[in-house]
Amino acid sequence: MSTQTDETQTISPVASEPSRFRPSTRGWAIRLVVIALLAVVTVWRVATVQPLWADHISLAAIFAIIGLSLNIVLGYTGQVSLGHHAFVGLGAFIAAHHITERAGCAPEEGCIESSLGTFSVAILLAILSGVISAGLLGMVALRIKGLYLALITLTYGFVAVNSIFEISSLTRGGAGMPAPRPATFFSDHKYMVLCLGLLGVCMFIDWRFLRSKMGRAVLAVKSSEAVAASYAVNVTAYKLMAFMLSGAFAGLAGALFAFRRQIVVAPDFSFSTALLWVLMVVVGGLGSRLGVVIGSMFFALFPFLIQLVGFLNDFLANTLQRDPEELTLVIGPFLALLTMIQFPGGIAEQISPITRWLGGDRFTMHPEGKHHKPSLLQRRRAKKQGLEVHDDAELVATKSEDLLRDAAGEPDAASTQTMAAVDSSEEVKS
Amino acid sequence: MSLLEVQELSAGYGSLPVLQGLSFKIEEGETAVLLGLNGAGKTTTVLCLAGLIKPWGGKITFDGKNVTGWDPRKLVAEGIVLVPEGRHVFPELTIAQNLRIGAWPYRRDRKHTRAIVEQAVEYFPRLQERWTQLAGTLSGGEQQMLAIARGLMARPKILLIDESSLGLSPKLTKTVFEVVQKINSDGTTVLMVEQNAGVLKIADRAFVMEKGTLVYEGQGGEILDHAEIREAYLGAPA
Amino acid sequence: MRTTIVSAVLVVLLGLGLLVGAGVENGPNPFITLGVMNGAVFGLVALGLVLVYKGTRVFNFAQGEFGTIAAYLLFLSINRGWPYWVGILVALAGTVLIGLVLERGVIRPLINAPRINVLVATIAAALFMIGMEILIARIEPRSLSPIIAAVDSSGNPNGVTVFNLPIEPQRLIALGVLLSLGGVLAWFFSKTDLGLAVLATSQDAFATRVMGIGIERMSRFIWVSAALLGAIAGILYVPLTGALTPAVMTSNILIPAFTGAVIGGMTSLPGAFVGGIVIGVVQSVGLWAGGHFTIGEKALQEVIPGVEQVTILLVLLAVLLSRPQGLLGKEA
Ligand SMILES: Nc1ncnc2c1ncn2[C@@H]1O[C@H](COP(=O)(O)OP(=O)(O)O)[C@@H](O)[C@H]1O
Ligand SMILES: [Mg+2]
Repeated sequence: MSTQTDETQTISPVASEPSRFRPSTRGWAIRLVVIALLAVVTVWRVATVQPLWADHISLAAIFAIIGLSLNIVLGYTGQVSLGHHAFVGLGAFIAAHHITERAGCAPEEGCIESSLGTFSVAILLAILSGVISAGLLGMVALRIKGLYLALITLTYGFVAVNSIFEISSLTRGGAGMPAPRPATFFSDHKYMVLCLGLLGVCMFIDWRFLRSKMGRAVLAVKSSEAVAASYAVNVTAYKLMAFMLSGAFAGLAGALFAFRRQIVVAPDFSFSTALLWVLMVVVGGLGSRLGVVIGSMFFALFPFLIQLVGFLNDFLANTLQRDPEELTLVIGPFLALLTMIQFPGGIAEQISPITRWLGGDRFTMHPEGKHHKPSLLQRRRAKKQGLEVHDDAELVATKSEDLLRDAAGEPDAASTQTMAAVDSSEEVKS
Repeated sequence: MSLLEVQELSAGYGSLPVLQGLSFKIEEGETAVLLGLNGAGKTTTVLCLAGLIKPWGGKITFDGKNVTGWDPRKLVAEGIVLVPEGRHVFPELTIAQNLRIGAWPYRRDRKHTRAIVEQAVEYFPRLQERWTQLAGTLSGGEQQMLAIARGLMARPKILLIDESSLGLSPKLTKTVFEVVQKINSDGTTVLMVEQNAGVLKIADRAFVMEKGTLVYEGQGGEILDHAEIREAYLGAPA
Repeated sequence: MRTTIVSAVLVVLLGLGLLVGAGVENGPNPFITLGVMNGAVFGLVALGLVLVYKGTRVFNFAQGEFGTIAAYLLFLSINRGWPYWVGILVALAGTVLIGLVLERGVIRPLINAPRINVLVATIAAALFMIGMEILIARIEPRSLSPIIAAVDSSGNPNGVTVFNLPIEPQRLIALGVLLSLGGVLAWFFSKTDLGLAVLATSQDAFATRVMGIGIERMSRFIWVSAALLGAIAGILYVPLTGALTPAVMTSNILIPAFTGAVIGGMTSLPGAFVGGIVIGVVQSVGLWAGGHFTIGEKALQEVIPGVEQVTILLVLLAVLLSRPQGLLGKEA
């Protein structure tokens, strides 16, 4: 299996460097007013939204939680999960199963509202199922990395859909497993508030996680296994924790998904959905919490937003006779490709002048050190040169080792390896 | 007329300038060496000559033609061939296959290829002994020999050899230099990038670079008489 | 050498399996035969995956969709009343065009990006193709006729019968095509200059440029060939499924094909070939076992639905955890 280091290195997260600039009191005041205005407008708009849109926004919040979940795997650990529909779907079925079968609140028995207690337990069980299955995946991921892990997750996703979601005691086959909401969150509006609230909780947890020793260690591993080794921390356990946290978010999103429609059917979770989730995280901006949330919400709301644009809606409905949702599968991947090729950093990078300003930085389109994306090659090259220039002792050591090897006439395996590393660093862009 | 003439060459990476107005000439049939400390821009110079990075400005004339900014493909066909720093042999191909790739410009002419292979192997008999061994399993010295032999496969008019002695034992270095001398006496012009003073013994002409410009130019042996240059750039009180 | 030994062992195992199977009532033999035939299609797609991996160290998740697109192009051509062979040409040409666009528009701009980004890009490309299929051809299944009809005009089956199982001519064609393409590719990589240059590019792109070889040309060549292999697989496989739907090749073929390629070591062409057949047999026997064995009162497949999918996941995990370089893990 290839052990190329760059397999584990993805687009770097948007790291904010400590800046020396501090705004004046007036500057802070302006920023606060802007933030407050934004908050008020958002809250007011959301609070007075139509029930139909409340339902759409619930979906957006659920997508955002899924986005955060994937971002942990993709943005923080640098691995790809192509089977997230399995985690989310399992969470959904587990939650629905608990309500209907275990707590005995089945619609056919006239139960259309679950109790708040069973509802909460169902959500917790869904989270637990996510933690356990992602933990298992994490254990595999510790041994199998990069491209191969992507393949395994995709395969697992197919197994989930064709095998686990076919177990009729869990899913009631094609009819689907009902998942009635409790009275407290029965209206679409109340349910939306719940989803947004839980999204907020997830964002908070994600923020705390990244700030913790664990989070920092995981990020360090991503940029270099060697650096991580020198950390002398139990990176393995931390990585596993990251996967489990990702699973927890996915399970939660699954439960919310189930209660949104109040029934779960297997076709809700197809591999193309899972792939689209990966792309929405890329479009949002890997490693950036806010970017990922915006990107995910955009992907969720895209079909509904199109319907708001009169002529587009007419064109789709009358001329093409297509469902706007079908368009997501074309536009989504297109945006993702555009992001990867033209705008690495995604939405997060594009809005960074604004977010940085709000965070107390100068307003500038070109934050320091970001004029041109520093390529991995350049950075590595610089590191190599640094070694050669500043660390002569090191160079001499390599030389004498090589010398010994030549004298002994042994095959020069070690130097081949170094050379392989040099290979990639020496590719000169023209 | 010189075989290779470089005028006011400038080049760099991204927005970082490395070469800043470099000029020199190499005559047909001679062995020239380019000396300088790490980071002086020697590798950048030969990468420019081989077309692997595009010059920002200046002019490169080869064999009477203005070849500035040409593609490596055209330059190899024209006769400028680079043996890159770090050898860069194809690790999972055999010696024979590595050489065959080197003969890419002559791939349609089997007989011709065979003739060059034989000639190249004469310089490095050690390669013939390991004909079907994977290049990645060769020692550093053998890989260097293979890299030079592979460069010869394209029938260069000028062979640019970047740091061939890096990481080799003194004995192996001497062998490599001797072979290069033989290659040169058989009619190929050579430009060697080196940090090893031993190379001056086979050099007709020497250039010293610092921070992207030429700071000294002279006969090969002459440089050894300049104590300050010797100490500054060769790190060896001869 | 290794290839010969491993292949011989596998053939012997297959023979033993058939012998044992012959003694079982409602035994697995028809399934094994069917598995070999399915394996031929997996092998074809696996060849494309290995080709791209050898050339560019990329996992191409769009390999399956090359086939679906080709099948749709063939379907559209036949629907217009064009002869079958014209349809095949249209399908191959169209898919090659898509391969070219993909290489130029997506792969080449990402030539210096980390491999995992390129992987995500191929996913985006696959999903884009699926989206276009849905948008243009809609979800509903279409039926695509095979090259040679399974039954002749008087209702007798064409093709041959093995273990009382009639094998359609299409399956035999697929097997033949796999064998010949596998041979051609193996020859190409070991004997031709272009083949060696492709290998060299994958090992050290910088050095390849130093030798005066245009690496853009190599990359284009690889993606065009991969698209062609994918298209051939699609044209041969889809008529056998009976239903042409969006993403059919990705959902039915891509994963077994990947698993086959991994079994073969991801860089070995004979490995992809052998791995494809192995996974075809394993999957098919899994299917048989699901119906044949019972746990308590219920059939195995009722207790564990999708036994054949689970088998593939297990095989994949087993290979990657125990022998990541695959059965035939050397460049060839
Ligand atoms: N790929 C690259 N990207 C950015 N800077 C580079 C690259 N290659 C070389 N440099 C810089 O260019 C300068 C000259 O390097 P080089 O030509 O390799 O020097 P030399 O071969 O004399 O040691 C050095 O400062 C080095 O850091
Ligand atoms: Mg150098």
